[in-house]
Amino acid sequence: MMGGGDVNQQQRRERRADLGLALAMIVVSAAVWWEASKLGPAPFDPLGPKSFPIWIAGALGLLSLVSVIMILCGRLLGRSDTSLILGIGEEAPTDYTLRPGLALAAAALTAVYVAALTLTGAGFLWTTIAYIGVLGWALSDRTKRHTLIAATIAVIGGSAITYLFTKIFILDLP
Amino acid sequence: MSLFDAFLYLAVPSHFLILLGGVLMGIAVGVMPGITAGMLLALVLPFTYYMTSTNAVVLLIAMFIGGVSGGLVTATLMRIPGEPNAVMTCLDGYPMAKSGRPGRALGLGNAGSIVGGVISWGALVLLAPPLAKIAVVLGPWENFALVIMALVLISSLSGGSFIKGLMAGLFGMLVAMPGVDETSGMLRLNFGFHEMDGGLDSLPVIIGVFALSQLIADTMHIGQQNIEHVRANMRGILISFRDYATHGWNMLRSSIIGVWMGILPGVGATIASIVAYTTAKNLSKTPEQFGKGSEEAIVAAESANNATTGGTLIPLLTLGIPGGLADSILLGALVIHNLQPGPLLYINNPGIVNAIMAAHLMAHVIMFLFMTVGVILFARLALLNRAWIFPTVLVFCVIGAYALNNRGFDVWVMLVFGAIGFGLEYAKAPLAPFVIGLVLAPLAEKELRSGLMSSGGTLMPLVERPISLGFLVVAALMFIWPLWRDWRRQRRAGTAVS
Repeated sequence: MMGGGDVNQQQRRERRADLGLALAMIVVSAAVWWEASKLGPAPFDPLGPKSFPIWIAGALGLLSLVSVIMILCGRLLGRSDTSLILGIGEEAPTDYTLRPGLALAAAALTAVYVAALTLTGAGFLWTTIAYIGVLGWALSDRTKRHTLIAATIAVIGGSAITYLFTKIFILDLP
Repeated sequence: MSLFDAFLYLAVPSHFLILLGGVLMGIAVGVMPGITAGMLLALVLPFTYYMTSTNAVVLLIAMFIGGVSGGLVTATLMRIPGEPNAVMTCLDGYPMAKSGRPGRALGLGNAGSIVGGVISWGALVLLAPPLAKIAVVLGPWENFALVIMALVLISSLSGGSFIKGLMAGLFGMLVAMPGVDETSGMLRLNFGFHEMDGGLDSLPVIIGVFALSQLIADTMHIGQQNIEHVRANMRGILISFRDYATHGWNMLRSSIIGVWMGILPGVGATIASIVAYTTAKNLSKTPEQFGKGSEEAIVAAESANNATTGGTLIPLLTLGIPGGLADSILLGALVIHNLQPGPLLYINNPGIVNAIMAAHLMAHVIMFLFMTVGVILFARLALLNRAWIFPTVLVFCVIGAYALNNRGFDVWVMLVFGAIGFGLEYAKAPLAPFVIGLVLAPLAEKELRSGLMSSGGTLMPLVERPISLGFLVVAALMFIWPLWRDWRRQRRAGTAVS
């Protein structure tokens, strides 16, 4: 059960998240509005290519602005009852430890993997073997046995995926 | 191809194998915590390019149904919902399994799933064709008003925060805007990046929002796999006809709730199982048993979540409006295969519609058999170390985003939307309106512009035509209702404090 302090902390966290969301939406709607307003009219089309994005951006901007005012007046925007992505923003579990640092590292490693594939000529097979191996090892208990398993899965998995997509699906992999 | 022919088509061994493989893969990902059916559908979609359109939709339907059902195993044995919609099953499935009756808990859930699935198939077959006949007379104004209604409906019904739902829906619409404007052929909103000239493809966006962010979230919870679990056994897995009779009314009621919730855009299986669970508890003679291993609770939750599968297909097939995430991906699959979802699908491609319906029923029967016979094997899948699964699935995300257009840019789009999906979910903004906005924005704009061109630039037909006016009135009511509800709640809270 949450105590009064926990409730306040939870509300502060929700308020920060709500404010962040509303401000981000204001930035997005302003950027779309600005970019769309540069467009010219289209012949034979009463609406043209810019009106619809401007209307949507306007509605989003207005809604976000109202949200910011509500938050500054001390009101919360409410929260989605159900989640399509499990496990984000939940209260800390009691039976195991949350590892946000590991999640961040996994996201960063994935970005490095994508950069290596799309911005360098590193080649799909070796980059994928390295990625599966390093990430698998990082997510495991990092014992000697797990290191060996991670390396084996990386080699077999990387080779199998490359074979599957290049020889069977005939895909031009990055 | 008639419905009967569609069943015969699926009985051909090569097609049957696709169905079988789809159900198996769906159950497998449903069982594995952290990998959802939506994620599987998004990942497989680019590869359906290489299949015929009928086989592609059959595969996706089979995966969808397998995935919805597979969550039962992990929810019952590990108290972790393998799929979000199995969250209510955890509450009673796990206590029953822990009390020494895991087979019985799985059997009841499985029975609820097949009954819910078959009832929803009946609703699909009976309701979809007449609705499509009505929908075929809708013009651009009605279609535009319908999209507006769907967006408002999904924002107000997807629960919790109406404002956040609307924000997510409008944001999804903006994401669909960049690229070449189809009506005028002019380039718009590329922000100076030529990679955006072709727009943001919805598939990398969906893979990023649902698959990547879910995997990153699961990495945070990787310690969860070491917690206590119950070993599966087969005792009680087959429930008797007497049990079906005892729980018959509950199964029927929960299935009808599931079908109805499925038809409403964006409500989906999770909310359906919550509503069915709560209804069953309110009407139960033993409500005190709920949360402690109640049979009624398991049956209600599982009947309802499986019943949404047929319900969500009704608006997709008849109006071209997806009811949830899986349907958005199905809609994407139909579009990729040059098929326009909506009433015209019935006229131009009745074979596809019948194949979807036949696959829906057969996939449920196969799922029931697999879940009865192979539950112990599936239970073992839930125990696989996620450290060995996640990296490979992430590689599939990258290939899935890349494969559609062979563009590295799409992979970056997936990464960016992975972060955005994580952020939206962290801020407790519902994601269903985002996807519906993303998928429906081009349709809304196209219909509005087409209507304006035919009316000479006036918006008046929108309120002059009775059907479009009706849709707008419903949208307005659904807009006002949550605001009024929130105002009333706050007033009550204020009165209670004073």
